[in-house]
Amino acid sequence: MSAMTRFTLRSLGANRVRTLVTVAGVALAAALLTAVLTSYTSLENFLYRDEVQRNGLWTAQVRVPDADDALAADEAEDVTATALLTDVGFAANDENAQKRYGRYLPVIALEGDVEALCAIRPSEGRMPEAADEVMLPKGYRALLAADAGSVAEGGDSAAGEGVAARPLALGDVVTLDLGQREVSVAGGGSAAPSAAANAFSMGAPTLQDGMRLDSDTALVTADSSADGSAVEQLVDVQRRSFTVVGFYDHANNATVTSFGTVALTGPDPQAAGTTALYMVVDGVGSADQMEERVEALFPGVPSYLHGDLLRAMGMRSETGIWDTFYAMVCVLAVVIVVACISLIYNAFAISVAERTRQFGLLATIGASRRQIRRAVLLEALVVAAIGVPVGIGLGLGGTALVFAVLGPSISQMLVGSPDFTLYVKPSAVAFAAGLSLVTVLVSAWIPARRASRASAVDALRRAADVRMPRRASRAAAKLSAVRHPWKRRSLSGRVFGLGGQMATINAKRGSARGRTASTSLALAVVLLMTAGSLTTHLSVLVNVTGVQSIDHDIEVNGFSSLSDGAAALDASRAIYERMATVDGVEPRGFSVSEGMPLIVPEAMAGSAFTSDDSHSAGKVASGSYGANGLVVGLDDDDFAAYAAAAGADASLFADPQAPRAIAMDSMSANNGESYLYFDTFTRPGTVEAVTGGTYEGVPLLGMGSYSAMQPDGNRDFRLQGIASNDPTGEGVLFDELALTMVPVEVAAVTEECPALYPNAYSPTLVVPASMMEPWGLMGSFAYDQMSFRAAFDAEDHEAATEALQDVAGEMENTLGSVGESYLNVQDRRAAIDNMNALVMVVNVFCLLFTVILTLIALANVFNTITNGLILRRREFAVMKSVGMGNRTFRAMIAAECARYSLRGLIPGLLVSLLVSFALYQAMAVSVRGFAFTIPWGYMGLSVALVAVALLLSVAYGLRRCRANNVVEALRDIA
Amino acid sequence: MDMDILTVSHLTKVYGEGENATVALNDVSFSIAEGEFVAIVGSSGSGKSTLLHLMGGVDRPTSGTVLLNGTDVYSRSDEELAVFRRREVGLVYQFYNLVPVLNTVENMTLPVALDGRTVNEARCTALVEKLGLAGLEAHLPNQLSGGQQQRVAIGRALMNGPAVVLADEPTGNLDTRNSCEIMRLLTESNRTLGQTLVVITHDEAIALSADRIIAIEDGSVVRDERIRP
Repeated sequence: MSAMTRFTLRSLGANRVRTLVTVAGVALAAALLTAVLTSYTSLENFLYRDEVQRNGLWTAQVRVPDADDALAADEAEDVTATALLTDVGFAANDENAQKRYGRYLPVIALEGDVEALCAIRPSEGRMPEAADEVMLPKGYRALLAADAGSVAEGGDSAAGEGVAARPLALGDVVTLDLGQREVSVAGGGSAAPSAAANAFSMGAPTLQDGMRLDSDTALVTADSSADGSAVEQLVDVQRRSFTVVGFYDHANNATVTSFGTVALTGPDPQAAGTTALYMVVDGVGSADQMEERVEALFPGVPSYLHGDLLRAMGMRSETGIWDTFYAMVCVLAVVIVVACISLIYNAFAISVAERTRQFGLLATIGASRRQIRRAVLLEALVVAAIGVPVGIGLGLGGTALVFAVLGPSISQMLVGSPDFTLYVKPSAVAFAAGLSLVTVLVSAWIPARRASRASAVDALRRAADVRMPRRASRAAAKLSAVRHPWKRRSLSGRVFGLGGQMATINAKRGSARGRTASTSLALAVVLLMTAGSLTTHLSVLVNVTGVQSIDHDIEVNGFSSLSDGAAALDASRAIYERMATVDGVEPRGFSVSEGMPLIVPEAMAGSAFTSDDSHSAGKVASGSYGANGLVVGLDDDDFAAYAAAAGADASLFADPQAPRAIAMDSMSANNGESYLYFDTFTRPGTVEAVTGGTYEGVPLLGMGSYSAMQPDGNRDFRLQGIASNDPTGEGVLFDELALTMVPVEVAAVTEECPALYPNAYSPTLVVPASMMEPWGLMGSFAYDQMSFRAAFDAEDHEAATEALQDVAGEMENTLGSVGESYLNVQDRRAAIDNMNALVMVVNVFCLLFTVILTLIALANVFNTITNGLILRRREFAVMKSVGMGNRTFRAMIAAECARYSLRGLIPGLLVSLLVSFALYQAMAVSVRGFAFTIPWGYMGLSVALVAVALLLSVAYGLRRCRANNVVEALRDIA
Repeated sequence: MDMDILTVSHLTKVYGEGENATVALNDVSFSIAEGEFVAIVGSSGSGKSTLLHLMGGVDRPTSGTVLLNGTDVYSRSDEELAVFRRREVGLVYQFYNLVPVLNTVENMTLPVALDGRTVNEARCTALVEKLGLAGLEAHLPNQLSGGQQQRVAIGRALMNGPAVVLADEPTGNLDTRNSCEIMRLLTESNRTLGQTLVVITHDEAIALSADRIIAIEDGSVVRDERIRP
């Protein structure tokens, strides 16, 4: 062991407290990095396992005309597994089965590793192994009948001949008439697909006479071709018998076709239909490469990639909610890395600065610069060797603990998902370790260079602990500083007197110490604001993604097909009142709602009306805006409470001649990819509700609406009436209709939501239900549908839900004809429990993150400020010995603090706004239409917290300075 | 010359408490007349620096009094003591103790500025000339040699025309040539301006140039002899 190594280790041991603080800083940094990265890899792994469980391991899929064509995949080296799903034929469904599924029950032959690749699993029985065995979707149990002579007794009716007498059992034999789908075009030739059935869903650019269709192709109906000349029919029908060996209830990508779930048989050499080939392609790094490989194997055949799986494997990034989390992890990782570098850097810089003289003395006795530099770096390595493993252990342990506590709630929330557990990816841990080590070395390198420059002369002249930057001598040489010393120019000098002036001089000519202090303050603000913004944005995310403030146990939703609105309202209320009499059930509220187009003046229109992202909204001819809205009617008591919450006078809403409403000010929407957030009504005013209309004097049957982009870039909102006297049968446009419009005065716009409507999905007006009829706020269309919602509480919510479902079964027919009306009872309590779990996960995560970042931030401020003061002990003593009084001294310190704060807080706030905006952007990937707001509250809180930390640090630092009194400080040689 | 400007009586200073207590000064009494040049000699740890700090109002004694111009120095509050230090005392240390961020002129005039007065530029310029610091006014301490830094420190001590200049081994850190130069400046101010001067020194030559030598050993005065009338 060399002398320098021994010296380094000895000095580490001698300054145990400082060494411990530095090691703790490194450990904290490594722990945080590990925790963030491991959380992310765990999430990715969870999504991967979830996707494998739902849809299987396949990464790419092609559809080839024949099973033999799929052999190419077996020869390819990078295709490690294949599964073949070949169309055998289609059995026509009977009327009952058609209601639930489609026209046909497709039969598909399985070959290869379908269980692993396509996640096809029996829920009962086993997988089919031969061509005469079948595994059916559970739903078909009651829809198909067993053959006579089957294992169990049963009818002899084949498919398509009515409801079976008893559900199918394993071992039953079913007979199916299997045919092939074939297009026939009137008069032969071909037909162009209509706009409704685009070329994609037809699988071909034109519909040819005699063309065969596979299970992936939509049903060809009269609407499919532009002139209605093409239809499809089953040909080559063969009667086949299958033994039922299993049932499955897990529908996924492979088992769902254009006609719902399919019947699966074993390998069938006679199956002549299209084959869906599912493959696992190995050794590719990106989705694009995957596409290239598949294209090379099957030139010209369109391929489908398993996008959700590839994303979880890190091969594909698409917009969506997980990208938001990914972007947030990135922003957090950057902030944490910066925080850790700063923490470690400060720890080292201070530890080295304190010993500048020591290094200078080493230089005088012959240590080379290289040796000194290596001594500091060795010290850093020793610190890292202890700190990084400890940190990684802490990070993994902490993450494991959090997941152990929260994992079950997360899994429970995502029904049917695998367990959410810790997944340690060695490469991620290695990355965290490497990053921590690099951070330590970089942090040590700069102070090491500085230490190695401390010359022997500096050390002897004792001036080295304050190195003067070059700009300091320039500032000191200013003419004014020579001719008129102490002339007060700076603001600080004017406010704080001589002390302030000293502070200014010190800041202008002093070492980087002041900058370090300001940087630590800036960093503290950034860290605290990051924690705050994260909390804000995550809670927005949680809100928008549907975790709502539902506080009732059971919810009943229904709609009536009665064309008379008043009758529909009465029927709905009768159901509510009847349900309220069920034992153990406590009614919580009743409301009705009716969708209708709303026309609003430009001044009132929010982004829900004006934004391009908003569907079915746009300008109408008058310059106003239109959109499909919703009118919600509440019971009188509920309405009074709601009006009070919205700050409106409930008595205003009782005049039968003056329709008035309270408007909800925002709404959210989900376009399948991201969540959109809109404001609806920007201020009170009068809107027009479209409740009916006539076409050439004949009342409309119903009304639709859409928006269309105009060449000038504006979007039009168009209403389309459905009229019995419409010659085209395609609807009549707005201009030709005589519309019934009810002017409704919006008396108040509020962010409050009625209890039963915690989220608005369209511009919503709230009125008393009792006034909807007198005000004419009920649609007068024949196809009109009034929805209602009722809520109940129950101690035993499961039993109560069943009891209410029985009532629903009895009374469903009072709402109109069965099939067109609807009544559904839902147990919300379970959903609420799951949502609470998610909210808890998010809150705990935010809290942990905030606490850790706050600790880092405040420790950093404390470290830099306190040490900065302690290092200047001697300077202070000199000033005091030449007659600086306590008042001037305090003024100087106060002025320095003010300066640090200004220099630190202002850039800190600016940077933190950027970070906040970056997090907002990350969120905007999946939640759009949400305006960025400056988090004033968190800004104030951060500034206050940092100011308190600054004051405490200064107080402590000065106390430490005073403990070694003036005389000692002056005498102090070492 | 008979007027006593500084009187030290029964001055005792104990550092620490209980078993760790160290008696740095033990019942020291003497008087210094106006315009006198006194050398205080003694071995390391004899208590001479403690004595100097107590005379300069930097420390507080355990017991005893220091009278400067007839006023009890330590009856003052801390704030008054600071005023006393910048007006009545000029301190010069072995290690110069300049404020690193202040240039030559600023270091010299710091006590004036602390007193809230405007700097007498003529006096300042004259002092700079006299100390041989012309041309170095704008330099920061780390741009100056040891001798130059000590001259700045002397300038700071003399700037306010204090009642007494107290110097603690002012040449202890300097080579012979610079030592002579520094002592020349100090004795000159004593001779020509009648500046009262107390110098702690190890250097026999310096001690012998003084009017009077006070020797301290183990915190007590062991010899007090006037070598010049």
